[in-house]
Amino acid sequence: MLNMCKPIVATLLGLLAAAPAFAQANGPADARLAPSWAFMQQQMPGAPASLLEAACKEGTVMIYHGTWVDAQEAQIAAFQKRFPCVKVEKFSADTGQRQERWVSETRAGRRIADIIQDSDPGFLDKQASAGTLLNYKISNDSAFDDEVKKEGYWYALRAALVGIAWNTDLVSDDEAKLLSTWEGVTNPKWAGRAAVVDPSAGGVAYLPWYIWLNRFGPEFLQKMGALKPRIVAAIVPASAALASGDIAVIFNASETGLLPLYQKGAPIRWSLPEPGIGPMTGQAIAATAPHPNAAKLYQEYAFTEEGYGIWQKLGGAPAKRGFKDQRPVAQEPWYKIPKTFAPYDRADASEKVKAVTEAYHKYIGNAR
Amino acid sequence: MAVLKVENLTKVFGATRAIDNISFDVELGDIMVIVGGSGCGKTTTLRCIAGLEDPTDGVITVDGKVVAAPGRSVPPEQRGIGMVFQSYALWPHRTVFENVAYGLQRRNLSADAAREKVTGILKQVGLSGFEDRYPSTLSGGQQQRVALARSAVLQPRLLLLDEPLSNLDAKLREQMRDELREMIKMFGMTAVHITHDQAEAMALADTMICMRSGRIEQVGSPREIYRTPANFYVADFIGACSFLTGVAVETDDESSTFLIGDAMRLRVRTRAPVQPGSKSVMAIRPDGIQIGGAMEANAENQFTATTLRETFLGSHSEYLLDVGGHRLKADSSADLTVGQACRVRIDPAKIVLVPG
Amino acid sequence: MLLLVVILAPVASVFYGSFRTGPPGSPDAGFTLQNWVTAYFSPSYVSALINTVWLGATVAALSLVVGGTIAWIIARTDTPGRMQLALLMIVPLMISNLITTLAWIALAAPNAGFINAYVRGWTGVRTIFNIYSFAGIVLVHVLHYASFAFLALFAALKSVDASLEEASYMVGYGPVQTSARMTLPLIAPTIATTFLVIFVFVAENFSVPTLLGTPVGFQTLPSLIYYNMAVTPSQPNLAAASGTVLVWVAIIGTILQRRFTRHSDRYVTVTGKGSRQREVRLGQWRYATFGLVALYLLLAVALPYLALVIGSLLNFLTPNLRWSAFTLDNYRVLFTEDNLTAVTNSLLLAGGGGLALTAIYVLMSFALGRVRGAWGRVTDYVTIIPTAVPALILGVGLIWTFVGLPVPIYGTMAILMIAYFLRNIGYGVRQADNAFNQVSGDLVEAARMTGASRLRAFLDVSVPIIKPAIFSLWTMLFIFIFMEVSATILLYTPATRTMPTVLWNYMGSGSQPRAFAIAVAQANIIFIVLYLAERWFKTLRTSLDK
Repeated sequence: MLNMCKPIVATLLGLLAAAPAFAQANGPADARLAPSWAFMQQQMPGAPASLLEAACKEGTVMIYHGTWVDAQEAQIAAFQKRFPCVKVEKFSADTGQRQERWVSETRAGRRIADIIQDSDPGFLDKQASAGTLLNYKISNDSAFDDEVKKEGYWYALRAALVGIAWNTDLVSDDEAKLLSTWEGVTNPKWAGRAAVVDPSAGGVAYLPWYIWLNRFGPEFLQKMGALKPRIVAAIVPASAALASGDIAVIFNASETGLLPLYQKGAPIRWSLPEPGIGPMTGQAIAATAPHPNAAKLYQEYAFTEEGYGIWQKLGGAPAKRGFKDQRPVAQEPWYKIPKTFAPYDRADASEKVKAVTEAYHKYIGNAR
Repeated sequence: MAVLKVENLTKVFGATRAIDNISFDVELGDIMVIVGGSGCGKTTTLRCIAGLEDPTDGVITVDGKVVAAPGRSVPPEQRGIGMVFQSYALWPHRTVFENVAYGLQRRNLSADAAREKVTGILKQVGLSGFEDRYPSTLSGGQQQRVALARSAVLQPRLLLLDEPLSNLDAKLREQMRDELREMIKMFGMTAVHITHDQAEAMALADTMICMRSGRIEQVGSPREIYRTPANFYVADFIGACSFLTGVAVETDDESSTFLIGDAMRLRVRTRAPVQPGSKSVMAIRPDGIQIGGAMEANAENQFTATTLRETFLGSHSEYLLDVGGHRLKADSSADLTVGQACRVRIDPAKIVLVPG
Repeated sequence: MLLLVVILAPVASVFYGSFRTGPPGSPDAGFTLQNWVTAYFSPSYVSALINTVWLGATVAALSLVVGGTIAWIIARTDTPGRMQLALLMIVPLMISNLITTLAWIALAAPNAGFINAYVRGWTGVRTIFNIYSFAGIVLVHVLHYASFAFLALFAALKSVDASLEEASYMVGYGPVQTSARMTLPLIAPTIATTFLVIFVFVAENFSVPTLLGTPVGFQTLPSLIYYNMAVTPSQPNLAAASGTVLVWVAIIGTILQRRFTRHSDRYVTVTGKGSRQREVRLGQWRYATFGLVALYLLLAVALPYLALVIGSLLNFLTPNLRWSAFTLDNYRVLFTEDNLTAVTNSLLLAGGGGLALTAIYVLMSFALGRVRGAWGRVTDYVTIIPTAVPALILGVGLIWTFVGLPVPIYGTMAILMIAYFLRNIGYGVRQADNAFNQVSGDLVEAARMTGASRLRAFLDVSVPIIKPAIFSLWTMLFIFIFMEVSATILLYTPATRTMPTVLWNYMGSGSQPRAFAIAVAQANIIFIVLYLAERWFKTLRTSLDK
């Protein structure tokens, strides 16, 4: 019943936005806020003018973001242009450190972070059920499917896609055809030429191991181990080694590492075999946000057409339904986003870390 | 008047008693020399007086004020005591002038007055013109004089000297020894000087303290200590000495005769009665033995000796003699050759009975 | 006392946290021994501990041999150009371990490393040196710490009383025997302390073994700890427990070091008497010694810097250098407002903060030196512990300690200063101790006998005499603070961001060339500051020249 009402409300709101006189009446009292308000009416129609006014009064918002610096900085710059009355502050660190800080601060009642991001959706789910996240449903909520959000808590900025990547100087196009399926990585051709990223590196590096093990069983890992792949500690150095030609293939590469290099002209390509593996990177508002209105405004903005597009262009594959991929790589003929994604239980994936790591060590880590 | 009073001073390090209940006074204007071998406690005593060590027990009074007592210690800088260190401890990063002037900086003196004082004292120690030199460019003797000037310029009530001559070569040491005494007297200071060198001690001291194992063996003027050592240790440590052991065979109020070995009879002037038949150790200084002359009939303490060794020293020679199978040290300018027989006479007044 | 609280509180919270199932304050956390059982007894942790100790000892020993040889060459021989070489010796310390590692990956990765690719082109040998190996880890560390050992041993060699060595020549020993029999024992306390400090630094480091050891399965405790923090869900409590293992290692190291330096008064070398040192004439051999030092500088300075500079000008790291691969973009990002704030903060923290820490360590060493007996021993151990706790864990400990305290420390520069104070205390206090050990006690006593109070004598006599050592301490602290990232990354805020945090974040977002550009800028800034300090205050010259 309510769901049926939603489009009607949206349409109504759209109509309201289109009527300037009416909007003026409900718009912010301060004329200087008019451009911001006009943008809000267009792209985040559910947000009232009072949110803008309250956000401006708070004047600042603090984001704890991950190491996707370029995407975040671009989005912040665009946000500042739209909402000059809110100054954006940011803290960036690796996942573990960022989580440690946020958790400690929250426990101690230190109200510092307004917005938090995380590449581990399991972590955000846990925070939501622990009550440390603010329940705020964004205007664009309906553009996000249930797999890519926890309604009212977090929404996905991207899917961090996992693929098989190769150096085009070292792997011929013919050989590369083998890499269009996950099973292709077990081909003896890759013996001594490939690398894997240690699942202990966490997040994006971990998920493929979990899914491979569940889907293809331990034999898959065993065959992979027989190829004696080099083990790399983390995604970034693995991608760098691929670009420099030190390794020819990465079995569990992540677009987060590949894209910056590809855009700089590195001789690399990758396939995203079916079913796709791509953990969400989510963003949420802290329950203890010292600037809750500014935080809501930013949260709204991050998932608008404009804000989302700016972030996604540099940050990774879109998770918003029907959103056109802004990344240059998406125009490439070789680039194909998987049609289906491997379904998995986020809580189970978190719980199985130890078992997966043990299997990895048994078949690959200690197989050298 | 005693400038320094040390009463029942004791210092314990762990299990060892470095100083064991000693007491002494130093009179105004006196140079007190504490002499003893290494580990005798002389350095610790000096450091306790300076305030660089806190005594375990005992009272130290400087100029009428108690500076150290159980549970109470005046820090060294407030004791008004000067000190010259064995290494001189000149600050390598300061010039001669700055070294000497350092202590004056806290004396509320005008810069001119301070300059005048420093220049004056450097002149007195014969270092005019060295003001801007650094210590490392000075000779040992010069460094020593800077160290003295640095203390003297503050006109301390009491000056402590920690073996300041031990780093000098022999010739310079003798010269500096005399200069040091002259300078201390010239500045009118009261001083406590410690040394392991008995010759230096005798040359410098008005009063000497002979220490061993944390205790005082004897206090007295250099003459008293040389001529009437209180015990075997002092006699042996201060000056050259030969020792004979004998049994008293005849005694009266003023003297006793001892039989040494089987045949040698020696009469000794004694101050206290000696029990006949008792055994005694006799100390004989080289200057108590006279070499040369013809044998006299019935003369007491007269022996025939053979020279075993000669050390020629210019003005005289030191001889090691064999007297009736006993070895004695003697000085003479008689120019004997080794192996030559001669007559010796031992002055009964210069033989001292020392308790073992 | 307050100091003791500051030192011990974060360490204590690490210990407390290591017995908990969740971070302090978690409602559902309880006590557990599981973390300790895992960290102390599970096979992977035990083998990581053995690896850590073995790596630390190997690196410390080799660094002392290399750094000591160079120190001897520069301090005691007539090798041409030695003063210039001496100034260059400090340069390897200006690039962090992490960056050196990345530079060496660029140089010696088995297939695409510049060196391997170049040599392959010439000789056809596929890989002459593979950086992904134990040898590679040792190489990167030794190149870094040899220069650290050099600075410590150089100062010690310079302060040895020449007459002691002359005495050895007079009884018929040549320069080599004299060095071995006389000089070496005389500087033994410095050697022992330097060994311990390098050992602890290496044992605590995670970036080098993580990057270079993973491909060969070589794990140290800090690299395991890093995993515990990085893996999701992260396990800070387990990481804390493994952090405590290193504390015991450091304490054992300190016991050994103390045993070695017990009679440090035997080694008083700067006394009130001065003398000049003898220079060994090497004849033709002096070109060989020059070559030796030059070879070190080639490996530790020229090659990595070349790799860094080239890398920083590239779009991405590759041995295939084409014109199209070059860009200046990486340097352009330096000039954003945020990054300029980071530069200012780093300069402020390293310069001013370094100065403050120097003063604190020197005063601490002075104050602790007066404490006799049991307390004196305790302080020796207390000061090494915070340095031995891996920085990642120390950062967590600091958060646990200060996040809940109602004092304005958390989230300010103050918490960074506390972190730097703790990180460097083991090194700083020991360095100051060493300097004081070289000042003969009677120089200070002489000042007191002329009426100076204890503090006055300290300021007027000890401080000026150890001024070179103080300058070199400041120099090292400046560099260390300017480089610190592991603890800072957990503690910084937008207002207190530093250059290394910016570098770290660029690296995390996949832009190594940009991180290289920042590293180059960082090294240049450090170099310029040290150069200016040298010009104005003669910091290096006095510490190198005496």
